[in-house]
Formats: sequence, structure tokens, C-alpha cells
Amino acid sequence: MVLLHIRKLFLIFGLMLATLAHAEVVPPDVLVKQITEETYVYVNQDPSLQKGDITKLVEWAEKSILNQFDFNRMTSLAVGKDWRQATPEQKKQLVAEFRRLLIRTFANAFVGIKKEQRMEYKPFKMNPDDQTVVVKTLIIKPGAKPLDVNFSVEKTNDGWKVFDVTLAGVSMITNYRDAFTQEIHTHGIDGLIKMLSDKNKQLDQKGKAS
Amino acid sequence: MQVLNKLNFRRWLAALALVATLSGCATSELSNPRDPWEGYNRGMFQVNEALDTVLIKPIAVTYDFIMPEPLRILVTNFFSNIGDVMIGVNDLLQGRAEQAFNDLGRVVINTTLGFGGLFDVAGNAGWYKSENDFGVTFGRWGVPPGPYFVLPILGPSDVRDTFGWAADIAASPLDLVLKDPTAYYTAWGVRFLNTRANLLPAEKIIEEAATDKYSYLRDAFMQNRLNLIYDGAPPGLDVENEPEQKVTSAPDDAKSTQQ
Repeated sequence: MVLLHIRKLFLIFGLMLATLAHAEVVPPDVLVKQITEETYVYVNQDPSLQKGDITKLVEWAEKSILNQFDFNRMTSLAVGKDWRQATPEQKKQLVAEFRRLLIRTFANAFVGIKKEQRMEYKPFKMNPDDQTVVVKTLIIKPGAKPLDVNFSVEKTNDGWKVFDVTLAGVSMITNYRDAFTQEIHTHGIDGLIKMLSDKNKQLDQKGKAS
Repeated sequence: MQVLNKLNFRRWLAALALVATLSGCATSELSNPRDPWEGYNRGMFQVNEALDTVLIKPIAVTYDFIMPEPLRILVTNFFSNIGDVMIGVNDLLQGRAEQAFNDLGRVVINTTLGFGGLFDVAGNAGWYKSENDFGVTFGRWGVPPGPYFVLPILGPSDVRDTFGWAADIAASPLDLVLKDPTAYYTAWGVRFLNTRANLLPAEKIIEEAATDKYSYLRDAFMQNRLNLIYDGAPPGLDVENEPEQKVTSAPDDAKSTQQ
């Protein structure tokens, strides 16, 4: 317990230092390291999270790490070329609904990370004028094949932002594209908004029921 | 006579193609170009889902419940070690000597120091397990994947990987380890069950994430196979289909910071 607190303190100090040192822009690899380490520490300090309770994790993420994710870009990437035909209001709604679904998925994926699992960061190099980069990490789990987790990060006005996460080569964003395109072509953009919002409502109710 | 047979065969083929096309059209004219058999595939997917719900999953859940985790890891490791042999062979077939050294090295270490493969000693020492099979080898040799194809019981595949899978089974050294047919088939059964049980945690993520489980699993399968064939560096996202280049980054600003 004490050890955990010390670890947390170290982390906070580390983050403060990192913020001071990189007052202008946090490099993408450091950003990914911060996000993943913070999540790892947070998930492991609470036994209820280990049992799969994602509500707390989602609340925590909203306050801490989620502003490092670019949900606008994620949504446009998932929708694909039909994104252009959406009105600004439709775009706003799409982003809001897809964001809810994604956060839930991220939380489901990361809530089970156990202490004996650890993350390894692959060597990272980039050119100074790169606009998008991929930061590669590995989740090492005893007795299993390590899981490749890659973060696509993009330079924005507001620093580097994560816009895609792939697990074992499967993008958690573009994997939706076929399903979304199909829905748009049968029921239009509003159909997709409705589909996502129904899905979210259904998941919320299930969460309350259990 | 032979001509007649040929004609009949041709007619039969044409009929089959027609059925496949029609059922494909029935689902959607916009389906993934790599999934021309979507009609059949969705049907088989439903069958598999039903079979899983009533039979396979309950058994896997029971197995998961009665097998203590350490014991289950031993089972996983045992089959994983046998699997590593063919992973190494496939590495060699693909001309990846370094990877083969890692994967066959794992077999040597785990079979000896890991008590016949029950413990992943090599993995703990940093010789991580990798993934490879004949489907990947064929892909690296330039064989195209062909249409997506849902196999009975086993689920997502494509034409190339179905042949790959058959080659995997034929080449697996499991029959050398277990010579008695009963033991051999039991082992395949346990292996299948163990794999299914290991997938239980991932299942919840997919169930909650997917808006259409069929296409979610299909696209995940395709992306994952491509990733294996390109060894973790598949050709980038299809830029053509990207909605707007650099939606969020204002190019002007980015330029000014670089100057």
C-alpha cells in the first residue's frame, strides 16, 4: 500500500518535471508513455477496477488523460469519405456518440491490466517535420504472446494528440469503417447517429442492471 | 460422356456462383469487396454463434471455472510449445532466420528447462513468443488472401488461410508427441477448449465495442492477418478513403512553429 503511494508520488513528481521540462510541446513518445503509465498505475491501485468496474476508470480518464485524444479525428477516420457529407451539427453528434462508445471500449480493454503485466516501449525515432507518428508499445503478459499496442499520434495546434490505437494490428478506429459506411448508405448519417446512440443507451442500461 | 460431365459441372458451378451472388446482393450491394460471399458467411457466422452459445461457451466457462489459473497456464504452455515448432519452421520458410532462432530456441529451452514445455522459461527470459503459420507463409510468398470465408465452428478465415490451416494441422508435430489416436483427438479437444476459454475476457470487449459483430470480427481478422504478413508494419491507412487530410492540424500553424 505504502509502496503504491510512493509510486504515485514519484509519478506525480515525474509528470510535474516532465511538464516543466517540456513547457512547449510534449514529444509523442513521452506523451504515450505518460498516458499508459498513468493508466497502469491507476488501474492497479484499486481492486474494484481489477474486477472490471469501468465506471470509475471512465470518470478518472475524463479528468486526466482524455484531452490527449483527438476524438474529432477518430470519428472522421472511422466514418471515412462520407464524413464530408455530414453537416456540422451531425458531425458534433457523431463525435459525441462515438466518443462515448470508444471510451467504453478503451476502458474495457485496459481495465483488466494486471500487475504482472508490464509495458515495454519500442525504440522511437522521428523526423522533426513529421506531422503524424506511430509510437509502438508491447504489453508483456507471462505465458502469452506479447500484445502489440501502437498509438498513432498527430501534431495539432494544441500539442500531440492520439488519433488511433491498434491492438495486434487491428485499429480500434478504422475497424468500424465498413459497419459505419453500410449504415450511412442504408439509413443516412442520421441513421448512424441513431445506431450509435442506441448502442450507448443499451450499454448504459446493461451497466446499471449488473 | 466426358464432355457431358464437364458441361454439367460447369452448369453446377454457374448455379453455385449465382446463388452466392444473389445471397450477396440480398445483404447489401455495398459490402466489403473482399467479402463477396457475405450471404453465406453471415449465415455460417450465425450458426457458429448459436453453436457457441448453446454448447462451446458453456463448456469453456465450466472449464474456466474448474481449472485453477496456474493449471490452465500449464495447458496453454504445453500446446504453445508444440506450436512453436511449426512457428519456427514457418519462419524458416519465410527466410527469417533470426526469428526462427528465437522461436526454435524457445522450443529447446522450454522443452528442457521448462519440463516438456509446461513452463515458458524462455518467455520469462525475454525470448518472447511470436505468431506464425502456413497462411502467413503463403501470404509472404505472394498468395492473395482470396475472399473472406467463415469456417464452420472455427470462424473467421479466408481462402488462403483455410489452406494454411489445413497445412498447419497436417504439419503439427502433435501426432509425434501423442501417438495414441484417443489421446491425440482428446488433445485437440482440450486445445480448442483451452483456446476458447482464454478468449473469454476479450469477448466482452468485442461484444460491447461492435455495432455489427459480424463485420467487426471480419475487419479485425483481415487487419490482424495483414499485420502478421507485414510483420507489424502493414502499408499505411488507405489515404484515399481518408475524409479530409489533417482535419485537426492547422497547416499554417504547424509551419510557423517549424520555422
